[in-house]
Amino acid sequence: MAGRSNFVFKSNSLRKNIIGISIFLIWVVIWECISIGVGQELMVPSPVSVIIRLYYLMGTVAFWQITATTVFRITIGFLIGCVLGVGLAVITSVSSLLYAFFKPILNIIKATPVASFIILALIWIRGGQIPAFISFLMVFPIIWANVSKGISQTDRNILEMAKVYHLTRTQIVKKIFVHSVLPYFTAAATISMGLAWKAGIAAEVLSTPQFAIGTSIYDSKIYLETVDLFAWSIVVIAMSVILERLIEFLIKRYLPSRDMEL
Amino acid sequence: MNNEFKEIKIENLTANYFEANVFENFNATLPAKGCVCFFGPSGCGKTTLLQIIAGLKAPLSGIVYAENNKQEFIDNTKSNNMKALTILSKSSEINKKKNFLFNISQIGNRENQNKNLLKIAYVFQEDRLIPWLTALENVSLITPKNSAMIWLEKVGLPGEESKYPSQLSGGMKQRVNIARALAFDAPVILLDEPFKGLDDAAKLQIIEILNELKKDRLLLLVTHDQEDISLLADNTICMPLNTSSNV
Repeated sequence: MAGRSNFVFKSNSLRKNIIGISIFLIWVVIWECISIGVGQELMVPSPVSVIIRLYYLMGTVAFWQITATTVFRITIGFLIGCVLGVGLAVITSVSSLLYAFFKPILNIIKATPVASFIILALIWIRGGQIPAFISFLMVFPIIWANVSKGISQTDRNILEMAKVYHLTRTQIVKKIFVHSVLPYFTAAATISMGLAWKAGIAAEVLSTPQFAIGTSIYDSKIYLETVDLFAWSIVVIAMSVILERLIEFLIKRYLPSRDMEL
Repeated sequence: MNNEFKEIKIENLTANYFEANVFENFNATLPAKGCVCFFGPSGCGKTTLLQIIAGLKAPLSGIVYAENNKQEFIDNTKSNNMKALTILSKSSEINKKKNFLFNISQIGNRENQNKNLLKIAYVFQEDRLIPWLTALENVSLITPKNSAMIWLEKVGLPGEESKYPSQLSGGMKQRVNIARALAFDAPVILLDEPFKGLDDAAKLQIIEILNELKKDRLLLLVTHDQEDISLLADNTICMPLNTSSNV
C-alpha cells in the first residue's frame, strides 16, 4: 500500500515537473518569436544569444565576484532587517504605547516609494552601503508587522496554562512564542527576501557601486548591450528564486518545526 | 508536595462573566483534603470560580485565601493579572492587600516568583496542550521526563508518549491534560469537567487515581454528572444561578 502511494506521489510530482518545464519552454519559444518578429537584437535579443552570453559571463571571475558582492550586500541588509524587526516586534508587543509610537514610522516606510529612499540614501551614505540600507528598509517593516501579529495571535489558553504551571520565561518563549510566531516569520522572511533583492538591485543601478549586478545592468544600458542586460536580468531572477528557497530551507532546518500540529 | 494549608476560605466573592454577575457574595470554607464538588446549572459560575482560585481571573469583589497551620494565609485578592494564591505573613495583611495589584513582570518568571505561592494544578475543560509538543513533552514541561512517563502510563497512555496532540483522540488528549495536572504534585487540584470525552474504563481508571490522591490533597471538581459526584466527591456545593449564599 505504501509502495503504491509512493509511486502515485512520484508520478504526480513528475507530471507537475513536465508541465512546468513545458510551460517554460513555450514562453522561451514566444520570446524567440517576438525577437524574430522585431528583427533587432538591440531591441529584443534572441534567447539563444542571451544564453550564450550568460554562459560566457559565468566563465569569468568578474561574474562571480559581482554576484557574490551583490548577494553579500543584500543579505547583510536582510539580516539586519530581520534582527531589528523581530527585536522591535518583541518590544512593541510588551508596550502598546511603543506600538502606537512606532506604527506611523513603519507605515511611512512601507508606503514610501523605494526610489525616494534610494535618492535620499545617495545623499546620506556611501555608494556600497546603499543597497544594504535599501534592502534593510524593505525587510524591517514586514518582519516587524508579521512577528507582531504572530505574538498577538499566540493562544491565550496556552499562556494561561503556562501561568498555572509556573513555566519559566525561557520555557514560555522557547516552547510557546517561538513556535507561534514561526509561520508568520517564515512568510515575512520569504516575501521580504524577494522584495529586498529587487529593491537592492534597483539601489545598485542608481548608486552604481563597484562589483554589483545593478552596476552591470546600468553599464549594459549605457553601452546599449541589450544581450548583457537580459543575461544579468536572468541572473537576478535566478538568484531571487535561489535565495527564497535558501531562506525556506534554513528556517526548516534550523528553527523548530510545526508540521505535526496539522 | 509543599506548602500545606488547613483550609481555603472564600469570602463574599462576586464575579461576572461578560458583564453579568454569575455569583454574588459567595462564601465557602474548603478543607485541605478530600474532594469538593461544585454542582449547578450551566452559567452559574463554576468555571469562573475555579479560574479565580487559580488566579486566572480577578473577582469583582471578595477574597479567596488559604489558612495554613502556622496561622499564615494564602490570598488571592484582586489579582487582575492572574497571580495564583499567595501566602501572606500575617492575617491582618489580608485586608491591607485586598486591592493589591501584582507586578506583571513576575508572570512566568520562576526565579522571581514568590516562594510562598500555593501550587495549584488545573485540569482545564479544553485540553490546552501545546500542539507542537508530543504528549511526553507536554507533561515534561512541568516535571522530569521519567516522572512524566510514569504519569502518562498511570492515566492509560503507555506507548502514546511520542504522539502529538493532533495524533491523539479527544479522550487521549484529555488524559494527557489530566497527567500534566497530576504530575505537578500540587496540594490543590482543580478539575473542570475532567471526564469529558473519556470512555467508562478510562474514567474509572482516573477516578481510582483521584480517590487515592484526595487522601492528602484537595480536589475541587466541577461537573454536571451525578455519577462523577457519587464516585468521587466527599462534599457537594450546589451553585444556583446568581448565587448569593453561604456554604
